[in-house]
Amino acid sequence: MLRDIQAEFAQRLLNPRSDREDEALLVHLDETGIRREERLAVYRNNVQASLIEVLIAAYPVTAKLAGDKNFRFAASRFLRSDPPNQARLLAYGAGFADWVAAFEPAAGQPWLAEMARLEWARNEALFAADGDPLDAQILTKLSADEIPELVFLGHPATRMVHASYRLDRLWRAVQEGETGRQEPEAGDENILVLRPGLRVDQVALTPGDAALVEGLLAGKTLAEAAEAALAVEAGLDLQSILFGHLSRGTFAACRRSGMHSG
Amino acid sequence: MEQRADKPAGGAGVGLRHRHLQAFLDQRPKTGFLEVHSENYMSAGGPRRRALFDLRRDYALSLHGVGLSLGSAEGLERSHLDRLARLIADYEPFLVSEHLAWSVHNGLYLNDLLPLPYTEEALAVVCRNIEQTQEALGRSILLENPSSYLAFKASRIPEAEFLAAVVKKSGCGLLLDVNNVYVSAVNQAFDAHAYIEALPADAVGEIHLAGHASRAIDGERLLIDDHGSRVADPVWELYRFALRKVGARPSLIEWDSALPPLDVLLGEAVKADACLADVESEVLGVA
Repeated sequence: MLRDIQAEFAQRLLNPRSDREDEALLVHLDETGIRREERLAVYRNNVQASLIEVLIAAYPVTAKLAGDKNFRFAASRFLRSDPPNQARLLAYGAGFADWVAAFEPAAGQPWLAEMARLEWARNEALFAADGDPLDAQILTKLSADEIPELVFLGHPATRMVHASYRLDRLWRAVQEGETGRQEPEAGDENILVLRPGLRVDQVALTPGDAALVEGLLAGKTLAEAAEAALAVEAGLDLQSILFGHLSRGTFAACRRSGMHSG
Repeated sequence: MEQRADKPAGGAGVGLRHRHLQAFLDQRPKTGFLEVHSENYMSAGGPRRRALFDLRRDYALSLHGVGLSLGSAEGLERSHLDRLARLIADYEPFLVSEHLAWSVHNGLYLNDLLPLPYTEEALAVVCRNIEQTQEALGRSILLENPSSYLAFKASRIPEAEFLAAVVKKSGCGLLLDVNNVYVSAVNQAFDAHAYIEALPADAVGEIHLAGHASRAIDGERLLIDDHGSRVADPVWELYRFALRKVGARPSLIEWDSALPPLDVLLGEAVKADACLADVESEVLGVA
């Protein structure tokens, strides 16, 4: 039955070559010419090598930091435990950061999993729905007592990444081909990833700024989010921070609390 | 509505790969048409989709799928078919194609064009899946002959006959990949010319050309369809043979690994143009 042969292929091609374990599949194959183990190996290599390349393309900075050989080894293990569940490979690898965090050989470099998380946020932003950012002009049409009641809708590409290392500087250094010390400093960092137009961008936010954005993305009113932000970072210049987000395209829309989108 | 190029400009086209996107956007080089892998554009948005919309104004487009898995015994994934239908609505391609292969089993995607045993059972599976596809898309598709590295003991139907039967039963067309014919013919010791002669010529709606690699295993040669070099001389010869058999057809150069500068890729398409021009003048000469 075709279904049984396909089940056998699916089971074996993600695993390493083992002439004994491959036997249930090999018995179906023609024996003319080149040995069937070698013929099967071409497909196994195609499947595994191509998926490793997909992961390198999605996680280029993590791959550079880990070193090519180490990254390929990790990727070959990851694809076995978390193979693609759809042909749309631009969405493959979402679970890689969590998996790396638990991958014993990477335990000495805990920032690798965090860098992978940042890269996945960038990947999601790259392929997210397009949309015009919220126009800051809209605020000038509102009265002073309406503004605190505003709730904001994040742009479809907007993502927040929390890290316990300073990833932003390291990410940029690797992008620019900088070599040298490839370890980030320890320290909490909140990175906002966004793509208001065609380019993915990222910016490290202060703790209060991050609290403001998170509150707003969670659906809090501006007044509520501002209160949470000031609790984290007293003396925050909320107005300039909010206009900063409007100009960089963090949000797609806003409306007065309890009202429909405007 | 935006203005779009609806028909190929004439001459061979090229497969559009990400690393050539910017060069295409900037230079708009002359080529017959563009072909992309459908799955790479199945995103909600983003610069890649935008770029393809932009290029669509100047180039006719062919959508070439690698992930529908027409050979899956368990049937097609409806979500993938729906995404393909939306992509077709967005980009209005003049051709839509897939492979005689499978890649999905039990929700697992294996990212390769895996071989089928050529049996009555597989024939029924492939026809059923193509019929479902064509019904969902509201158009017929082209089915590409695979390159293969192994054969099944259970196979009873020669591949070309299998393809001819699929065409007859499902009403689909064929995408004749002459490099795949050559690769499979060497790997499985069959006659590439006889294979092409056994295909229903009228059904061929597109021809693919690509480079392959050669590996020595146990003193024998195994060809690998890696799309990583210029089209090999025997494949050009087979292409000219195919053109004389089926007539001039939209032809395309595929190059995926070790991607060359764009002008090298376009140069291969120009070589295909010369073959197309030869067969067209031969036809005129006869008339």
